[in-house]
Amino acid sequence: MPYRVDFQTDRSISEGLKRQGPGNMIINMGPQHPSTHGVLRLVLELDGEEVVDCVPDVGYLHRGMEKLAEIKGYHRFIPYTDRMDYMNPMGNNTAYCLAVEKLLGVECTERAQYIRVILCELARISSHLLWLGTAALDIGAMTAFLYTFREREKIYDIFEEVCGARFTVSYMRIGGVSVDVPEHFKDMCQLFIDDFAFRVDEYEDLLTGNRIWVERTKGVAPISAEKAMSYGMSGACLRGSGVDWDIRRDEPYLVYDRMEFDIPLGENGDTFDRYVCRIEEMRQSPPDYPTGS
Amino acid sequence: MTEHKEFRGELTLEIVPERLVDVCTFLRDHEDLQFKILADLTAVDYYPQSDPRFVVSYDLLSVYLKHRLRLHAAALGEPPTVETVSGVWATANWHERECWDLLGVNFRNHPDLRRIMLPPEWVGHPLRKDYEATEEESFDYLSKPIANE
Repeated sequence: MPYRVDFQTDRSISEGLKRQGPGNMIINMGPQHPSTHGVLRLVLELDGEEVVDCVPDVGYLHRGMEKLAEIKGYHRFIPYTDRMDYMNPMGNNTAYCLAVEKLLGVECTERAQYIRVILCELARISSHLLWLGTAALDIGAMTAFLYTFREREKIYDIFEEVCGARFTVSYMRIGGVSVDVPEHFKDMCQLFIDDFAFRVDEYEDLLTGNRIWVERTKGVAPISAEKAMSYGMSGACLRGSGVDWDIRRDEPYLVYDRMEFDIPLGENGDTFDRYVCRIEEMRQSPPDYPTGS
Repeated sequence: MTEHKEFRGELTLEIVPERLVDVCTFLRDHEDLQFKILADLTAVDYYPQSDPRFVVSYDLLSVYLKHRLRLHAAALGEPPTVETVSGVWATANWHERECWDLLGVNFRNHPDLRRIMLPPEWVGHPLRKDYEATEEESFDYLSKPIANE
């Protein structure tokens, strides 16, 4: 239930369910639920352990950012973009700044572009790690969660050295970045990258051949390529369904056109394929950085 | 189509609202276009201009041919109305609900046009330009009377 004391329960929401079987159970999940990692209410129709229908009730986390943006001005809005997806503040900062820069018709310096790409890629890994850890945790594999959070800490250490904040960084500025990277930035990144390839192998040792993990992901929630596109899916979810699209390669921004990386694709579009895509993306993610500072 | 304009490399077509669904279906299915993804759907409020005050904007993407296109369709009447495209792209269902919820644009023949972000009893459409936003809004949780149930 929302926190508002005068809120009236909307019972009509469960009327949208198909009610396919007489023995099916209707269960309300959320809005506060440990596995939603955020606030989301789902009214579920269950046939045994299988979810056969679902009516989502969203909006609990809606913060009216567009309305806030109307009165904030372009620069003062940057900290809000951190919070749009708190797993990837660097990417959101960058996307917002790129949009404003496009409107202005300006471009930031090559150095700033490389810094942005490096930090975005680190944030991307950190975001994938959170997904992997919590997905495994919710399925019952606690160890993977502890492993992935160990590496996330190292990425946050780098962010802290760069801009003073670990989580909500607000590092990008319209036209560049807020402050240059420190001298030992390159060494920190190199240290992380050298270690990380081995860590991804560790996650795979824990999960890829794990019977429980495979049984709970293979063939679960398959989404066809046609459906994925019709629902406007993007990123690793779209690629998991076999659609060969990666905005970094196909509409390169910043200096992505100078990077070389492979784009993994799934075949069946199920949870396992999305998992494989993300794992491979973490391996592909650290692109070749230019030498020299 | 009535007009086209290009700004910073982004092409926008203004189309006749009556033919919206036909145009969208054509853009999605034609083999030289293949706009299989509706990347965004939103509306622009040109308050205090009227006729049209609201213009609905469709951002299309083709992942096969790697191109993009934006459509603009004027929403006329009270409430401002355009035809739904939820039959063309499934994702339009929620986008149109959001557009109704926050901007008050009505989508004719939409299968389930309810508020999506705000509670059902909310009054008004907050993203309209005449819906005032204030810098700080304080809410005193402690002094608010607690309802007896």
